[in-house]
Amino acid sequence: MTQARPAFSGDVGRLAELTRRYARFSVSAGGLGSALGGALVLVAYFVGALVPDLSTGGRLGLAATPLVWIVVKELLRSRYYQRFGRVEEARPVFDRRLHLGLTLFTALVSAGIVVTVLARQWPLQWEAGTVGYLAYVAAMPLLVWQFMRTPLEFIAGVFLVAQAALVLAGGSYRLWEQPQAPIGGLALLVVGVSQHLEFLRLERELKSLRGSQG
Amino acid sequence: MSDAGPGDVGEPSSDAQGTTRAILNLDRLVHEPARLAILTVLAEAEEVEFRFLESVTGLTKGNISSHMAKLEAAGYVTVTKRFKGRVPSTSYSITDAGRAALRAYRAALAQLMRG
Repeated sequence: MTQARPAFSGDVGRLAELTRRYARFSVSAGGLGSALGGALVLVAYFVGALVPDLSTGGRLGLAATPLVWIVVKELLRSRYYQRFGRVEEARPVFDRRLHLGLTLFTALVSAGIVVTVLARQWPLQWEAGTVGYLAYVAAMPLLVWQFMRTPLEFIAGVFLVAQAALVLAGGSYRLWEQPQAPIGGLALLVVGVSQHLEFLRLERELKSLRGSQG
Repeated sequence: MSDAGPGDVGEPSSDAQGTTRAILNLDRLVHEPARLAILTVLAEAEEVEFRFLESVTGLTKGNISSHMAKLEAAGYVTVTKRFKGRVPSTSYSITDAGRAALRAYRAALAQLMRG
């Protein structure tokens, strides 16, 4: 026979603090997902700029980086960082508005690029590179809204998507052309690793809390 | 020597009466430790899955469900049920009324502690 657990007897202040810290990993803290994004930005930036004659495989590899990042980071978020149960972070109004603003800005720029390309190249040659380029540019606002929720994720993610689009169309950014990308990528890498270490501490605290409550 | 006569012995002072009244006026729905813990967790997030509540409060499934039913009936929480693939998942959110009740409870308790 299992013994009934007693009513809650813990410290509600600590409970509130642990919940708040854990909830961050549902939206604003990406942990290893962020670190991966930062690393991919650095790879995409320097390979794109320093290797002028990329093979088709290399180009496809670079073009896949945003999708790989998004899939891995979302899997990590749901399967690893939220494995005690999903707790959706209550984000401050400023963060929500900033995210909305960045999405709208991206939508405006994307629409401008798509319209310009279509107008210049009409009637459009349905080449795979052009279609891939337009598809990535058109999808960018949706990707920003859904998966790039913090300013650093925005900088890194938009660069990865833009670089992927350019690479598909046969080009790539030159060195120093997008200086915010390696800076943002490096920052995301450092922040991601530090968030992961914070998660490991939090995990230990959550486990000890469970242990102490039987 | 005290001026108080025999009739005064045992009669509560107005301070004590005030304290008693304040204790009796605490929202009992929030005052229960398990429900206080649940509301505290919910107040820190947009939405919380059942599993997490179970993990951090140490309460049993049945216990959480029965407390949630009371909190939902009072309009303090809302319940969302969905499927993750084939697995059902239940999440809870605190309502504005729940947040206000928790805030009022904390304020009342803080005032009591100050004496």
